[in-house]
This record gives sequence, structure tokens and C-alpha cells, in this order.
Amino acid sequence: MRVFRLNLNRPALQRAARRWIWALAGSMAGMGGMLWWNADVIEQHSQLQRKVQGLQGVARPVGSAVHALPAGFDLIDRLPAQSSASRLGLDLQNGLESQGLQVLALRPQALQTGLPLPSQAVALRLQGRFLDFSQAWTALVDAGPVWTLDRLTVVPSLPAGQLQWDGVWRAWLRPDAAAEQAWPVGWVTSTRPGLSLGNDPFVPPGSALAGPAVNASDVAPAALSADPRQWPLASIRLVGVWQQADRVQAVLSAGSHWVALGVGARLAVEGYRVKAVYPELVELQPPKGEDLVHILRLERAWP
Amino acid sequence: MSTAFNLLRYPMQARQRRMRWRWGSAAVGLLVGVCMGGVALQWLGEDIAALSAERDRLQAQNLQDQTRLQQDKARGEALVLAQRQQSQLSRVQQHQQAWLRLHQAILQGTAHDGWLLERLQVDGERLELQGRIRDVRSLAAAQQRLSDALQGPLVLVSLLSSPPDGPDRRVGGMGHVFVWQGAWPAVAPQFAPPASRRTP
Repeated sequence: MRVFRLNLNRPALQRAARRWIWALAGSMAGMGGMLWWNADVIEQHSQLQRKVQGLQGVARPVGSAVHALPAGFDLIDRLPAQSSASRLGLDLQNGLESQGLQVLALRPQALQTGLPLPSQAVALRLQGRFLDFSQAWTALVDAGPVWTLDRLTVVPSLPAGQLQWDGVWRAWLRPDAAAEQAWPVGWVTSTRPGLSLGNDPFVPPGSALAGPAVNASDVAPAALSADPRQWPLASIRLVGVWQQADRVQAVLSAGSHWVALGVGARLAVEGYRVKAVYPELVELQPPKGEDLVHILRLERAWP
Repeated sequence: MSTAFNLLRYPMQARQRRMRWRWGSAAVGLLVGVCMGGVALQWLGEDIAALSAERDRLQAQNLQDQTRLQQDKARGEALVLAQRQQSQLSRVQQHQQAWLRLHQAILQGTAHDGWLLERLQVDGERLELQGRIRDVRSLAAAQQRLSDALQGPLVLVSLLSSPPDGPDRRVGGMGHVFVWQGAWPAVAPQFAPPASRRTP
């Protein structure tokens, strides 16, 4: 039956194909020509499809949970700005002196710009009582986490009850602009009366006037003149070397006095002259009749 | 040849009719094909407009995502730096408090335990105290009390005794010189790496 129907339909199909083949070819040609004529539209469509598929394939970033800054971060507001590092030593000197401490020498060190916080070290030699220093440090702590001490050596000095504080102080800075409450704002530098020498841990109990052991060559700084030519040679210390252009000067101290002297300057009651100034030492020319050159070295205790 | 058959359908007429049909149907087919192509192009145009809108939306979204990602990254770096800064400041505060404790402990120790300080030295992470004491038997108790006050153990590293009638008599009769050492909470600066880094 199926074979019979096929045999019947084949001529009809052939006739239909012969009849409509031209129409079909015409329509194909028409549509093909139309599409060929607008091939740029098809190309644009395919490009857009690829572009959209590419964009849809991009993985969306996962939002990271960034929390707010931890509490207590306002501590950094107490820090001075890195740009003010050059005057911190002088601010510290003024504040310490207003609290009864005497700054004998001050030498700023190189600025450390490392993260998370830059810092500025200052080598400082002080003279003063233990209790004055303790009060000054308490005031500094109250003013914020700004100053630390890298090194400190405390030994008795003259007159009795006075101590010599040699150390390297370090101020912590913030890398950006300072806030309004940045140090030294809030640093109360007024002295607090009511403390006596008897409380000093460096002074023997019951002998406040005795003071530490005194060598025969020691002279009380209070008795020293500001004139370096009146200083005994034994009391002279080299605390640093200043250099400005070609001019080099030795910074010498005796007791609470200090002076910067160049080559040829006279000093000491023994009649010495500055013969040469080097970065680590100073040669002193003795008076006539003596051959040995006296050498003052930069003190090792002085950082 | 049968003439009766050719009376109704002349071969020439039949051929002409077939040719007309072919050209006519081809022309109609061409017209239909052009129309179908036009419809297809119209659909493509609409699809292009939709794809363009989708592309613009995705590009804007990607740009927004990238911007947000960069902002999150910058905020994250700032937060890490802020946490490091706070940690450093906490160490600074601990260092400052250690000095306060040391001052207070020395004041109380020398007042109550009967010893005298001769030298105080802090160098990095080491604390060294040199002092004198009259009665060496009370040295251990004084050392323990000072260690408790400093919240860190002190170690006796040296003890020298002078004769009672020696030159130390003028130091309140304290003839025993001792040296204590202990740990110290130093705060050291962290140096910048050689490569330049952006400061936030």
C-alpha cells in the first residue's frame, strides 16, 4: 500500500517541484541577495553576541568585608606630622627645661621613614634630678604615645642630687598631615612643687648633701665659668662635631656649659689650643714645652 | 503527429506559458525572498539594539565592579596600615608605662628596701641597674619586690662587697655593689623597604 502511494505521489511531487522550483529559487535568491546586501548588519550582530557573551563570562568580584577602623585609633591624632620632625627636638628641649631639667646637648638623628610610622630620633644629654625627670616623663606620657627612649644611661653628676641623663629619644610621627591635638599640644610642662631631694634614689638616705663619690679632679659645674679658657681639662668632654660648609667645630662641654670651638681656639686653664677637629675626636695642642697632644674622643656613652 | 491533440495546446503556446510561469513565479519568489530577508534584517536590527543595551549595561556593571574592587582594595590596605599603626602605638604606650613603673618602683624600692641606685641603663631590650645596699641579706627581697613592680624578672649578675672601713663608708655605709639585669620592652623603628611604596 505504501509503495503504491509513493508511486502515485512521485509524479505529483515531480510536477510540483518543476512548477515551484523557480519560485523557490527566486525566493532564495531574493533573501540571499538581501542578506548579502546587508552583510555588515549580520557581522555587527555576531560581534555583539560575542561581546555580550564575553562580558557575561567575566566573574563578578566578591565584595570584601572592610570593617571600620578599630576603636582607639584616635591615638594617632596625638602624633606630630612627619613634616614637623625638624623642630621636635627644640620643642622637647623647651619643655624639659621648663620642668627643671637642663639640656646640655641635643643632636637630631636621621629621620626614619619606615612604615607603619616614621620616627625621628634625638640624642639628648640632660642634667637634672630624678624626680624632675620622672615628672617630665609622666607629663610626656599624658601627652600621648609620642616619645620613647631607645637608650638611656643615668649616672650621678654634680652638684649633689643632680644626674646626667644620656639617651636617644625617639618621636613617633604620622606620615600624613597632623591633627589639631598633635604633640606638643596637650603637653603640660609646668613644674610640680613638693618633692625633696631626700626621695632621690641616687642619694644615700640621710645624707642628702653628701651626694655621690667625688674624684679629686672633679669640679662642681656650678663653679665653672662659661669661658672655656677657665675650664679644667679633666672636666672637658667632646659631645659632638658641627660642620657647616668647610667650617668644622668641636662641641665641647664642661658641667652645664658647652661651646663650639674651631681650630686654633684656646681652651682649658692649662692653656690648650684646638689643633684639629675630626668626626670622632679632637686633638688639643698643649702649651709650649709639652710634646704630647691631648685627644678628646666622642664619648661612647653618648650615642 | 496527431492534429487533434495540437488543436487545444499548441507547443509554442505551451512553451511560452511555461516560460511565463517560470519567470513570473521566479519574480514573485524573488519578491517574497526579499521580503523575508527584510523581515530577517528587521529582527536582526531589533536584536542588535537589545544586544547593544545589554552590552552597555554589562560594561557599566563591570566598570562599577572594578571601581568598587579598587576602592575595597584601597580601604583594605588603609585598614591594614591603620592596624599596624595602632599596634605600634600600643607598643609605644607599653614602653612608656614601663618607664613609669620603673620610676615608681625605684622610688619605692630605695625608700623602703634600703638600697641606693648608682647607675641606670637601658639599651635596646636590656635594663641594667647598678646599686648599693647595706645589708646583703635583704638584697633578694628587694630584687623580688622590684621584679614584681616591673612585671618582669630581674637577675643578679654581679655582687661586690667592700670592707666596712673602706672608702664606701661615705655612701651611707652601703658596702655591697650589685648589678641587676632584666628585659625591657623596646620599641624599634621599622625601616622602609628599598622599593618605593605609596604613602596612603
